[in-house]
Amino acid sequence: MKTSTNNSPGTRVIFSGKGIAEGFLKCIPLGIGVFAYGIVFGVLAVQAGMSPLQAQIMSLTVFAGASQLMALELWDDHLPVLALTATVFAVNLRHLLMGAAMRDWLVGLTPGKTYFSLFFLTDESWALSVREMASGRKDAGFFLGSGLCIYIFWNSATGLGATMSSLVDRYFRDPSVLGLDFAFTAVFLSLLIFFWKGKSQLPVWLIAGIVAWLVFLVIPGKWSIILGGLAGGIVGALRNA
Amino acid sequence: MLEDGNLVFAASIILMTAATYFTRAGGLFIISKITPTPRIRAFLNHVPASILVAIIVPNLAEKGPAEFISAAITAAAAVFTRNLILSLLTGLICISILRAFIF
Repeated sequence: MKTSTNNSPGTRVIFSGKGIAEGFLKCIPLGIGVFAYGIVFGVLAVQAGMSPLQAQIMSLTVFAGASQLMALELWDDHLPVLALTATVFAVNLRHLLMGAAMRDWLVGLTPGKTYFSLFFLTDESWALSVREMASGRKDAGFFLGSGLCIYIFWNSATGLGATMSSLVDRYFRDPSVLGLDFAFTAVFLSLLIFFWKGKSQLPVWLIAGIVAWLVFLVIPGKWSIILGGLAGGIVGALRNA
Repeated sequence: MLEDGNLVFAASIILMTAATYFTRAGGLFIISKITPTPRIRAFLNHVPASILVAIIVPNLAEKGPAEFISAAITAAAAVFTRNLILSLLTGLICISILRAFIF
């Protein structure tokens, strides 16, 4: 561990159009996976009583796959506004930790670029970006570009699923056809492998995995991600500092 | 009545959007106000891989042999190719074959 508290090793972080384009292109395989789930959301949203326009508005603004699907569970003629908000908030708490982890790329930028880019933070684009950041890329445009890619795939899929729900539903009810349900596990697992630097990380990963698994057994939803991530981070901080 | 419905819909959308954006922006906002000590830096350095572990473990926990074997082969492909697309494709081919013919 370096003794310096300076957070800028090497060159300054930039934010270029080239970076945005590269992030977008590299994220397309993940976008295709998101597209499959976007279709499912569109179909289910209409079945839950939303109009196609409402489903589209939700994907354009809330833009959070897991929370939108959970919101459908609560969708009713009389919308439980507070329950919806609380659910969405709880499901997305993990993003607090993910955003903080983007520090090296985002703290030096203008607030406009930083807080615009953060609107597009998703699990998939974050995982890809944080890996690029760790491997030494200095162009934070990558983070916005990958987020925009997911945004476009998620929203076009929502529109397709919602407007053609009866047609789509017949042929595309289940993303586990073609193994798409496994695709995200494969992506996150590969990115994790790329984070491997040596067996000093093993205790951190082990604790993160054990905590995530135990939390998953006890509390449904996404709490396992934030608590597992926190546990790993804390173990890492105690060992390395 | 329709207008009431639209109003409630609009209120829900605005509140849900605010809730998601708060979580997306809040973490960075807090960390940007802090001068990180070596300990905080070590914490932040270990968070990304820990989150990935914490996503993967529950995803696999409730699955069966087809997923476990595919995960192992995907990991091996990632180690040898160091290429995301290649290891993703390996995993997808593997899971399709295992599900279709074996499990």
